[in-house]
Amino acid sequence: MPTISGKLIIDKDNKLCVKTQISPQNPTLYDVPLEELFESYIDKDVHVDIWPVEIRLKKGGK
Amino acid sequence: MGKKKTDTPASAGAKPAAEKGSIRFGVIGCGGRADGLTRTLMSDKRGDLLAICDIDPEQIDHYEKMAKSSLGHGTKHYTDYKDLLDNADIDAVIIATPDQWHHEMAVEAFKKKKHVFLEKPAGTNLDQNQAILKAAKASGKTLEIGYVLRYSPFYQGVRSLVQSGDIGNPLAADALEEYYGAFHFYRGWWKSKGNNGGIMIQKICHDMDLWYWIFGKPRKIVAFESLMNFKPGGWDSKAKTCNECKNHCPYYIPPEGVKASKTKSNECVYNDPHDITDNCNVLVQFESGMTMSQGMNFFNAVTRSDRFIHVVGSTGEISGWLSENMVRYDKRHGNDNDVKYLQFSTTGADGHGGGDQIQILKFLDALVEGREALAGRESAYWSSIIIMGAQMAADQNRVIDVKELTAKYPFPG
Repeated sequence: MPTISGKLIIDKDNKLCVKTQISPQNPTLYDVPLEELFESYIDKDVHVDIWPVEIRLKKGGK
Repeated sequence: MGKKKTDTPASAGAKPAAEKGSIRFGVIGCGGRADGLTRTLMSDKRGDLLAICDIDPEQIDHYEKMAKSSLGHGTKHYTDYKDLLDNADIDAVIIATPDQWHHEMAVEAFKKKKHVFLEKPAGTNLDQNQAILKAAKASGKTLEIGYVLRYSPFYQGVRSLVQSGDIGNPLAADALEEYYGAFHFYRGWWKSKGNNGGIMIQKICHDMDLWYWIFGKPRKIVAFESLMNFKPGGWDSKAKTCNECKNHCPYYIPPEGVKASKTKSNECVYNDPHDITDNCNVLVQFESGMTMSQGMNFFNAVTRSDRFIHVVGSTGEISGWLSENMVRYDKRHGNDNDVKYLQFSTTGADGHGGGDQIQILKFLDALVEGREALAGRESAYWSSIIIMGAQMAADQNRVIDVKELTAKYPFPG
């Protein structure tokens, strides 16, 4: 089960999405619908953890 | 590239190495570690690659192709590192050979007035470490140890949170490294303590360097290590090599894969004799009185190679995994509403949390600006006091008082 972090938004199709990277190597942010995140877990018991996230450092390194 | 000075003071004798576009490097030890460093430095307009040294012609060929592709020119080739160091056109060297040669090569490089980027560890014992530091000071050249985790956004964020007082005074900490690395740790040069000083010096020197950087100087150290799993009986086979094994374990490397592996050897990770242990725990008391434990093992699931840190402070605590690039913050006397996750920036790179690529570029910064590197001589000294003190504590089965080590091995300045 991957850990997903990102801004929770409603996209232009009125879908609840997480704006997130899909791999560490690709910095592009994609709007990933929550239903896509959950569809392979339907009818399974899952653990969902939701907490607010604060972006602390805008630039890498120092 | 940032131009900010680090918090490390400038070296007394250091002068700018070169103008932009002309820091000329040589690489000694053309293996996997130097590969990424070399690619990154060649991608920066200030870095040039003049010469490479390795005893493996295939590695020379590989690096030569990299240089031609990145720089449009070839390199001079050496099989003896002393010949490379005699090349007066070279300003700086990356030394990324097996650990047992770090000391001799770094000392020689400083004698030849080269700046040195030295893969960790800085020697395999405190005698060697002291010789490297003295040679660096005498040369007036810049030393940087490959403590790449200092440059990862994750650990920079952890340090910032601790040192800014966001969790109050740090009171206690615990950390863990798990690494699915038996593929190479029980094969080739890694398997011998004589080659790398021991598991603490070879493997968790990165971590102990971070804890000096974040929590300060140590006061006392105790440590334990053992070989629990990677020994005869750990897998149902009596073969000494992969080639002869009839019951392949998860670390099996087929004959065609051996050549491409890190060690190019196929010893059985269970049955081939080795004196590197597979787990350890270090307990450090810092000068502040704070204590910290650091664990490490090779037993984790393949999906769990990672590093964890947990710091408890007087007003709050943070915990997190390097791979997730964020920490959970809990307010000490708060409730669920006070819990939040603090995410750090990503670099688009994943080697050591992104630190691999950043460090060599920051080393270039240090050379251009004529100052010490972030993981420079002072870091090499105190980090080595902790890690080599830890190995000593385990080897000698006693508590190490740091005063004993600093009296025998004072910081050369």
